[in-house]
Amino acid sequence: MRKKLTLVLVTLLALFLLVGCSTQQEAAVQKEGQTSQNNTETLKIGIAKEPANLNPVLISGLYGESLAGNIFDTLVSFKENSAKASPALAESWEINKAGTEYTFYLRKGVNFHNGDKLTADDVKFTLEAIMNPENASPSKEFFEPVKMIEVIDDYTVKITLKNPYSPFMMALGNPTAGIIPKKVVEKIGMDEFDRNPIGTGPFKFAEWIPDDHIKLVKNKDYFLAEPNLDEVIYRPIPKAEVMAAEIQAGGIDIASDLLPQDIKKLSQDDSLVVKTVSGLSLKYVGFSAQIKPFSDVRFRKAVYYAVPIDDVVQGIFGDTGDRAYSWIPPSVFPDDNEYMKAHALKQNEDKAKELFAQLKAEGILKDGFEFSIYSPQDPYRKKVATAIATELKSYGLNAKVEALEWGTLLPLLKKGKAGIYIMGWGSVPDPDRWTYKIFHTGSAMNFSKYSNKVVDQALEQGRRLVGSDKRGTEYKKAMRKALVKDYIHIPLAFTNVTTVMNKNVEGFEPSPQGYFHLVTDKRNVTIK
Amino acid sequence: MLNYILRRLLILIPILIFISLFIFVIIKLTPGDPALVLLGERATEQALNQTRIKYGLDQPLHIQYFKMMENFFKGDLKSINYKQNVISVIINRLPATLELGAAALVIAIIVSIPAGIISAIKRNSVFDYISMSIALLGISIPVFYTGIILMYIFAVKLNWLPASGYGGHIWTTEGFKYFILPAISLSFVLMASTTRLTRSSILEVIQEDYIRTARAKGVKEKSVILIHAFKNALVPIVTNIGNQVAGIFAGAVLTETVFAWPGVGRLAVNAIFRRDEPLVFGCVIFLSAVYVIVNLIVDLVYTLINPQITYD
Amino acid sequence: MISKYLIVLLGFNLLTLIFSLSKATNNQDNLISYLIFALLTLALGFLINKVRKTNQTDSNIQTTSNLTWKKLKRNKNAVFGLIIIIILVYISILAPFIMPHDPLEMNWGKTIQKPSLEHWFGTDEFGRDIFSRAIYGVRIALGIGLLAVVLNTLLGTFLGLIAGYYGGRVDNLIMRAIEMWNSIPFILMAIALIAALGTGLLNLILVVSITGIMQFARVIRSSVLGLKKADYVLAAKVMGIPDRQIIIRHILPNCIAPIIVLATLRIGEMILTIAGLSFLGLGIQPPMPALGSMLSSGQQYISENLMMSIVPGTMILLIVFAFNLLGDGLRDALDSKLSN
Repeated sequence: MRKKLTLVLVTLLALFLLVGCSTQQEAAVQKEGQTSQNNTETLKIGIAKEPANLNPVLISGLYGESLAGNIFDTLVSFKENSAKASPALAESWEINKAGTEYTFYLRKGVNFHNGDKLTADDVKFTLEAIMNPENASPSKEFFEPVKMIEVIDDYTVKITLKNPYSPFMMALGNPTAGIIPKKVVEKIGMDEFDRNPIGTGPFKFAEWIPDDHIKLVKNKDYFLAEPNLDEVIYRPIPKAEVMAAEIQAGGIDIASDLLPQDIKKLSQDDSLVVKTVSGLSLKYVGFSAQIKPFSDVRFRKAVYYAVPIDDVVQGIFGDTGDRAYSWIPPSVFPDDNEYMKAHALKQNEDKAKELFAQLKAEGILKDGFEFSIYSPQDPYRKKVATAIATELKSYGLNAKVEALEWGTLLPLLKKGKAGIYIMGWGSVPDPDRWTYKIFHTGSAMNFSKYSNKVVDQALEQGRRLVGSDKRGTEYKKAMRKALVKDYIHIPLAFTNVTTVMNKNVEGFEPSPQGYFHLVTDKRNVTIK
Repeated sequence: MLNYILRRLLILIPILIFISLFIFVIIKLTPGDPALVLLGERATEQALNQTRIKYGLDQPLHIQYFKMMENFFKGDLKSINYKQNVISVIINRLPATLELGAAALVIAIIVSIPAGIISAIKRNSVFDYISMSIALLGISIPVFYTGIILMYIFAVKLNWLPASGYGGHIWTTEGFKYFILPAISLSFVLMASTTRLTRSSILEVIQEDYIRTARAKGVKEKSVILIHAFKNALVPIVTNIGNQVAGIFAGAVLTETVFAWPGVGRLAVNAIFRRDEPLVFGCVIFLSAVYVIVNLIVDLVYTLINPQITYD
Repeated sequence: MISKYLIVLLGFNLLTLIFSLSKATNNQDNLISYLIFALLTLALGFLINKVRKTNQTDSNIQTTSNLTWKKLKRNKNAVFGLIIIIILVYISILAPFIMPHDPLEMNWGKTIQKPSLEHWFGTDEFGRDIFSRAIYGVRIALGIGLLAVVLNTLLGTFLGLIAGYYGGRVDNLIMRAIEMWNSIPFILMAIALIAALGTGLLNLILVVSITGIMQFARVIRSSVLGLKKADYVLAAKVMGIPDRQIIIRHILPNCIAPIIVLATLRIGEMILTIAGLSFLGLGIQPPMPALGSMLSSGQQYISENLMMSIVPGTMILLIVFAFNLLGDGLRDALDSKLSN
């Protein structure tokens, strides 16, 4: 009886071990590979969130782009200068006068990581894959103006646009337009390629252990230079305070997305170097243009008057962000900061009270009005929401903060169901990317459901005019109307990109978009 | 005996059906859109629809449920986020959680059983008082609080151990270092309850007649305690440890979050947050099955340590 | 005996009532707190009256409550726990009168300050007073914990009673259902449920209160199984008294002891669960001060101001610890069967 039982238990135990071993074998093989070459240069980068995708066509967020930038190459590059395109896979290019025909001459002798040659066919395939609705590419919208892609010869591609579209080069230079190998993707499919990406970039994809790390190894034959680093490991560390602990303890070499107080603390550590560049991302408060009472401009102005925005931004973002007055960052043309700043509202309790009283008298606002301020689960934005909710309490408004997961928050915002929300935006340095998708009627990111003819027209004009001062006037017009006349948003802060790195990391500079460029024509990051 | 085991395993079927239905309803009640989470805020409506069709999210609910069940048991259910088979996603994460749980269990047993026995023998001594207070504090402290404090002291201030992450299997020297802090913080709760239970069951057993008889017969005190008393006190202790295995999974969710540990607990929580419906479904069913099987094993272990219990 | 302590407490209550009268009508929150406290005082008065009467009439006969009190009093830990709980309950009811600052009041000029005379435990990242927030946090934790435990107790007891009393198929059905319920890792279920229902106090209470009914139902069921065979229950059955009355009149009162013990021990667990959910961002939502979220934001400032994490952490610890101490003591005093 007992013998039998022991037998059963032993079998069960064996089964468990089997399961453990089968997964352990793979790992063991990798481990050996690691230990055999002891003096490998490995750079460990901490990232706040694990990317969901590595296939450029499918990538939807910053971290995916950041990784893809090291695995793939784009036709043109903005890695060293985020405003001006420089050659990458395309050695040179021509744009016709009307701004509708782009001809790219590809660099010869570039190979994918699997040894295949890169040709114009791959370029055509990649861009068409982005435009193909079946792939549901998040970057599809940037290629909407494309009419036709022609392969002239193996190393020449011509792209024809339906109408001139100024930010087109930016779209081509974004990591989401990284060129993928036609042959491989056609064979294994988009999803499989997502888990086993092959590009032309400085690093080859090696392994991805979800929620633990993604490992890249160097591509010796990279066309710019052989990377100095042998391996790059990206580690997703969701808690900012843990990230700070890790960089201090030496678990990672580069940390990003740190909290202001941690940056201050880490800057006193002699073994670490703190580097900051002004970034290309904005945090803002948005109001609904459709839901009462938020749709009443007096309500929005009252909130603006009620909350000491300057103090809130200083208190919450500290040195990691500067007060914003417009959507378009100061470094991006056209600069209208002075006008916007002059017309921003300063805290004024009496005016706030007066406006709220007016609204109450007209029956638009009830005393003790209950509503939610929506924000994502990010410490900064949650704190802003908390501060606003607290300030409004003293005006007899019962605001509560709902810090939601993206999965819940995004559908809510897309449907325009949020009365007040704290959101952010980051993009490339072109005014169109900072305005059209947010303020144009019916745009995907227009969470306020804002709709104004003047603004719409100005934004449409801005897309058509190429590189002229008139273009700037249009964007100024749109911003002035939406932000300091209608007060549909309160811009909070342009956040800086600060990276903290180990002293022995050489040649690394943070990029305004928060990418990690490791090998470019100007740099080749190394570890001493 | 075999009959009993078979019967218990058969019960698994209705349990899993119930759980699958339950979790399916919860998933479908949850606001949010898996397609939107996958494609991000820039996605167009067309792209979203394409993704919904791809993962069958446009089908009527009952069909979605049966498809999910069918695919799960065929091993074809694919995670939206990882684009991989759900079962293999879970199995890949299992070693990290199992090893962490086992390490916590071992630490708890090594510390708490001797502590419990000594407390029982030297009842009302200073040792008893201190260890019982610590044990009571142990079950009163939030598991994530211990984690952060340990990390702050040993990783940041003293720089002895890595702050977070998984460095490989526990039997490798590199990997072992990564295990120490999370395993200790996870073992706290278990340690506390096992110490208390060991003490009280030994105290209870000591008053039994056969212990008195043994003492009267002149058996050495050491062997009275270790052989006679401890053996008989083992049943409740094992039960408790068995019950706590489920608690380890629960605690692991928080510990894994604090220490950025790539285990099943964090996988499941992230799946919920990312609205990865197939993965949530798979994780919950899988973890529930593990729980039921562990309970079965615990029940079987009883019969080993206490032959009076039979299941026929 | 017992009345001596109660009279001291009553005196304290009355004094507090008089002194805080001026603040009572400041706002709604204060008024409610004041009224609750007045009710508590009234109840205390009645209790003293009753204890005195029973003591006078039959001073020789030991009533069960008297016996329990004596046993409990001998257990120093339990008394210690009880005292902490009483203090915490008093603090949380009287919070509006004790707090030196408004727990929501921000001060951007005074963020993350070390303890001072003005701010006893310093200030947090919004310049809010940590001491006041901790007090308010205790109030909310206790409030939610108690409500959840009551709900939990009602549900668990009900299921246990039905399963134990009717036995057979009903028993089987209920126990299997609870077992299935219990085989889903509870924190996962709580997270999934909150994700589905949305955050908010009510949902939070609901979710934590249904996640742990297993223990209750099991223990109550087993004591019902024993009671069912007692002579007086059998007699009642023979007399044709309806089941519902038998359960309410004869069985339930005899299950009170294990119910109280379990409920006391569960409060601690519930408060820990709520703190855990708050840590994951799913618990009580700001700006309402909650110990769990204070703790998780305190971790972000662990080297700037240790008070931000130590104070809420210690408060959680203290509440749970006190309830565990008392629960242990009650278990020893009330029910020897439960000592496992």
